[in-house]
Amino acid sequence: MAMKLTFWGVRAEIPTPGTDYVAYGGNTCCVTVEGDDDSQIILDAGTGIINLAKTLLGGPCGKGQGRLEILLSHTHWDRIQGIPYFIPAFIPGNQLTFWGPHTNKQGLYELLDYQMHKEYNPIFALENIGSTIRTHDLASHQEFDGWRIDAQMVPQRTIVSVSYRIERDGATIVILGNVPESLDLTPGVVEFCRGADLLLHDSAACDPSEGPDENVEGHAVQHAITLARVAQIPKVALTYYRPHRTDESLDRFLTEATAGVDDVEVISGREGLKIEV
Amino acid sequence: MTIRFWGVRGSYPVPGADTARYGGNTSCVEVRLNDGTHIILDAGSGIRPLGHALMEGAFGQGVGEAHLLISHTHWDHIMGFPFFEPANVSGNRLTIWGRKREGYPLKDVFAGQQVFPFSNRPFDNFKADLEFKEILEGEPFSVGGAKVIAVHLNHPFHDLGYRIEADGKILSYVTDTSPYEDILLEDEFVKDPNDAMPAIGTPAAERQQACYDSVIESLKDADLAIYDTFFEPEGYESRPHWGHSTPVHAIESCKKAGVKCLALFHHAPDNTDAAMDDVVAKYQGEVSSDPLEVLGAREGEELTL
Repeated sequence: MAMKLTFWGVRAEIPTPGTDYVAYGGNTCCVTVEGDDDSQIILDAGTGIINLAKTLLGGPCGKGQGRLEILLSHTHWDRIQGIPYFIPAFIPGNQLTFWGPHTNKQGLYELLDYQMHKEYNPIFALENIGSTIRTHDLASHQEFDGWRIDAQMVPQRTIVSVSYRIERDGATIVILGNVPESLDLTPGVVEFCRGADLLLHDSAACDPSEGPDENVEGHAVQHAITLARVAQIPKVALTYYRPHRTDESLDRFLTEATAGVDDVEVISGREGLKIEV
Repeated sequence: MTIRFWGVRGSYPVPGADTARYGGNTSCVEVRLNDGTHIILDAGSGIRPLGHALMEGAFGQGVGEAHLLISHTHWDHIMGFPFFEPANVSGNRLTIWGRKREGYPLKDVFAGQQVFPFSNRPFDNFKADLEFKEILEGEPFSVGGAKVIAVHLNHPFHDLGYRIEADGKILSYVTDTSPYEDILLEDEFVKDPNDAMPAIGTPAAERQQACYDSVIESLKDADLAIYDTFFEPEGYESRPHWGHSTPVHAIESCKKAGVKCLALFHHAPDNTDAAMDDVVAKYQGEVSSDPLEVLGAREGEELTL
């Protein structure tokens, strides 16, 4: 096993407490990728990152010696709203490095600081948080600690999202941070994904104009499977479920969408699930 | 006056089986008056399921009207608003009340949650009629058949509690607040709690006492007090600057004010249902020989005063 993927939050838009959401989970986006030596990358910082913190505090993060790398697909709330409650961020000595996109007007640090402003947050500003926060505007290729990371900006309906290709010890995963408009496979995206061992693909675009009954998830799953076939990826993992999708509804959708598919393994992400690659 | 809890959790929503009974949604309380007036206290994540329920009635037809009273604009008290379905329906009328803060218009603070690149739900896309009204503590105003007065609460960058008198009953909503014992929280960031502890005899100490007196007045003879009891005493000791109280403080204030029933509220995220049962039982035990009744607010619970 070269890499292990762990799901901490698979919910889109806003956390969904309640018994109808317990099986897949109600925390917003957060996935970790670990290497054999426990080296770890965090993908997105929705509320799922808050539970991740509990597993980190027993180690260097609890002593102010933590070094965390957090890759963000974009800065919608469901990808960053866990940061103000992420305990390692509050411990002096810890160093958190965020990688992600910026806008024409604001760098990544400024975007993350916005969430901490005094009218919204009792810490008033990111600089008061305690740990050292570094931000890296995205580069197309990064290497550190045995990780090789490629990043590609993929325009989506409501935001430009970052897709990551992560390689370690000969295993590769690709994260597609949102779904495109149509089923057409953009050539650039196919090449970016080609030959990966696993494709982590969102199940929704979260365009508010999409009605609750529209088969957004079916469309997304179809795209993921088609992309996997063309790019020769044997495994697809799904995440990012719309808030109104109960466990029962997701079970139904995902079963229907994957019926008869036997050439690609499709895994439904859920909180607590671990996948080895 | 009927009250229903749609979100009772503090800080951030807590999904999962362990918190499902008391509920993981953040602050949102619905108040319905006998004359049909609809009041909503805070717009935490609980306002999303409230909105869906309201769509079954007048709000789904575009003839709904409600008043949203905001204690403060920290995320856990406004994060549900972009997902409040009635705001998407033309004809619905929503009046949003909150504290006036120089340089921070209430409408802009709300809209600021729905800007690019943080949200894909632009504020201007709302079709309902939204009116923002800014008030200060001590200024009475009417909401339908209710008389409402806001009170200053002890929380970073201002917070309002609300006393609502209607239908011959009194509801007092007191969240979020630190007790007015050790610290006074206002406009500045407090890194070290010792920096914000007024020394006896100073104007700050007098203000602290005056604020506390006004909270007692706001609670006076209330049929129900919904009170921020985030901390247990040990938790509060090290974090008075977080701006939250304990059941001990809440009970003391409620007894002084002659409150009939206290609902513990704004539960800490780590408090599982089992832990909350213990907290509630403990404090019910402490008031067992008092006229004050104590309960632990739970999502879905409805009370008629």
